[in-house]
Amino acid sequence: MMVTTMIMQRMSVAMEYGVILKWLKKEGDKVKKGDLIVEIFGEKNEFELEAPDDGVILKILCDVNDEIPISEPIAYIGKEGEKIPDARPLKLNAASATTPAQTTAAVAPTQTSTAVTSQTVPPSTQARLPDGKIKASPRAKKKAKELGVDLSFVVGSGPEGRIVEKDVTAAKDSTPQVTISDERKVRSVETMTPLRRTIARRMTQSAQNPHITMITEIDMTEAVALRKEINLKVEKVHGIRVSFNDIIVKAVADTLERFPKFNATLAGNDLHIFDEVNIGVAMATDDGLIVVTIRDANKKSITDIAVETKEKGNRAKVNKLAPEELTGSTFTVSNLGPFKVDLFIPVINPPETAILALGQIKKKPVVVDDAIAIRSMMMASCAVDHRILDGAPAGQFLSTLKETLENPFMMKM
Amino acid sequence: MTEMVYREALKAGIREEMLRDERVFLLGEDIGLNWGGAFKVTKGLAEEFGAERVRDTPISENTIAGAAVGAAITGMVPVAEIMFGDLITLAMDQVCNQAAKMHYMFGGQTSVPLVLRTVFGGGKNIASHHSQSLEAWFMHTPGLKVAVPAFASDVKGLIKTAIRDPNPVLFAEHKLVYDKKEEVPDDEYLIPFGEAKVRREGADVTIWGTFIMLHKALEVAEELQKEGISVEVIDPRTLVPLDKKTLIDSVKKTGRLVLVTEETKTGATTAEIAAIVQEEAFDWLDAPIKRVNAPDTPVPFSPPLENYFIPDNKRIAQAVRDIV
Repeated sequence: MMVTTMIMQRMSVAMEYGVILKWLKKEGDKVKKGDLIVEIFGEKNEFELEAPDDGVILKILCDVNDEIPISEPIAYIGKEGEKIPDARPLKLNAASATTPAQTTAAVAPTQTSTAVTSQTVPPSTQARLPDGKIKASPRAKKKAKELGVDLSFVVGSGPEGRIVEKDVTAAKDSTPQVTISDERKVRSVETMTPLRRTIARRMTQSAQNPHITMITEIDMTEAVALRKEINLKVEKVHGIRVSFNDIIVKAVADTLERFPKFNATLAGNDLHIFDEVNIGVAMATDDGLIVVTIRDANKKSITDIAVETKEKGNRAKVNKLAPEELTGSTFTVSNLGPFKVDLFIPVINPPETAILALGQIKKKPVVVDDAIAIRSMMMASCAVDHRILDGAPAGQFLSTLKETLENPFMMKM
Repeated sequence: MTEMVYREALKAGIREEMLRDERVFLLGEDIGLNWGGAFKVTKGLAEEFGAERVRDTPISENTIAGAAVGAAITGMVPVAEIMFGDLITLAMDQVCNQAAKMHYMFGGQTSVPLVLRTVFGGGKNIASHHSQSLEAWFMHTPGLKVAVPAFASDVKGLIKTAIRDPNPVLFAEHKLVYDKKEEVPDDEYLIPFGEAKVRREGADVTIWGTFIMLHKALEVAEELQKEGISVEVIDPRTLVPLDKKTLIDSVKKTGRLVLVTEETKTGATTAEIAAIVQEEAFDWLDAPIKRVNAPDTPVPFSPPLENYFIPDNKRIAQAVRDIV
């Protein structure tokens, strides 16, 4: 029998690396094919990876909290005493100075903070040697050590993509690496959770793309009336109440049918326009922001959307969502109305091309037919990726959505 | 300062030493009266100092070297010439087993103040028995000093130091540098062994080389400057002792090194230099060390093939561009 290499597996499309959460087996344990070996955190979820073969765990290659890219080896399984290859996985966290192990480590009160470096997204054009090692000159490596730069975040400009000294210096100057080294006393250190790290990485990635944001005010008076009417029935039948957000999700889904480029993703130089309209609904959990996906929202009724969103929201709070429920959205709606926010400028949820942000609904005096009227108004902003979309279509999208929400009884129910 | 060719500067250095110390004498094939050596380095010296001090020998390299070693250990200061460096193979025992080892074998009771001049290099279409570059053999032999002057101003100061050195010195010259002109100081001067010279300062790449390749490297550096690549050119001037510091300081500055000699590549001086730099300056390297050498074949007789064999400006420039 040959030694079998257990690798980090891709558990969702967007997953780029997995975080080791817990080893369920230890070195020397006998395992059968299909036994659960390790718990990992993928893009947004926890998974268990199975033994790919029968045998003994000869070697575990990574520790808890290590960030291991897809396809990197994580363990070897084989016969007892069998020789294992001398390979080590690339660890994205290897050079960072964040505290390993515990999520919250108590720190002695007299201790002051050490240098902590925050990182951006590993560039996809990374020069790697066949064994996954980063291709960098000795001089670049030395410089990186001096400056505390993680080479896995540096793009090489030397021959064949080699990272040379000036790339390290440039990376130090350009990336938003905040080095905190001061005398202020630290009470405790909280290591970012895997979800938090995913958010950090993806938001940084997204913020690098040019956003333009359109803002309008939407008269929600009719929507308020519609909601009241729907809820008379829904509350009796389903025991829940339709939220404004559910109505907005439906309006957005209908609008997206007419604006396919808002329901798309950029892959290289190609814009991939999606068939389905899957609305991501941003939700706050204790752990951080997650986006729950309502698939085919354009084909569902407001009530369907409400029931589904409520149910998924409940499960999100207890971490019980399946990966497919957290991925696959094609457009995201983020609503901070419940937090009494009037208006905010959103960051696109990559790899989507646009996002809608909503503020609270407030009664305001507005001019209707040359008379002052009290109406329920809501600020809305739509950010688009300016690489793909310009101001005019963004404006058209927002005005169509406004039109729909101001005449909600026209929606396909 | 007087502008003169390398050959004249070399002769001037030898002449000054012959005037200064009457123990200094020359021996070699056709170096004497009316001829002055195959490359005319000693022309006129026999006429000035007489046939006793500028001695023609039979065509026997072993005899030349053996006689020179004998003279050196019995109180003379011989400057022997081997007409072509290739033919030094016939004198290898005298050079490597006798001259190089005597001081050690005799417990320091004697030394061998011998200078063995010879000429390396191709470019003259005189085939593989008259065109090789064999300096690495002598660099490899403990007990010998090895000088490799490439410029007129250096050759004069180095030959004088070589003649005054109590140790055997292999004084290597190159056929294509004899006619290279340079300003040479008029006053007496000595150039110590083991001191390299930065021939051109630069920031991006260091080129280290010997003989005619240094002249080519300087042309390449000028050319690459136009592309925005700043090249530093280092002439070691002596291989033993070797000035590591100047080279390593330069590599620490530029982070990149191209080694250029006319030797065939395997086991050449460039291989040794590359090894030293990676041992002592690994962390400063921003690119692999590049070697530009001749291919591992005998030097071809055919002029087009010989032109291909000897590294040219294009190949040197390419090596630099490859790592910038």
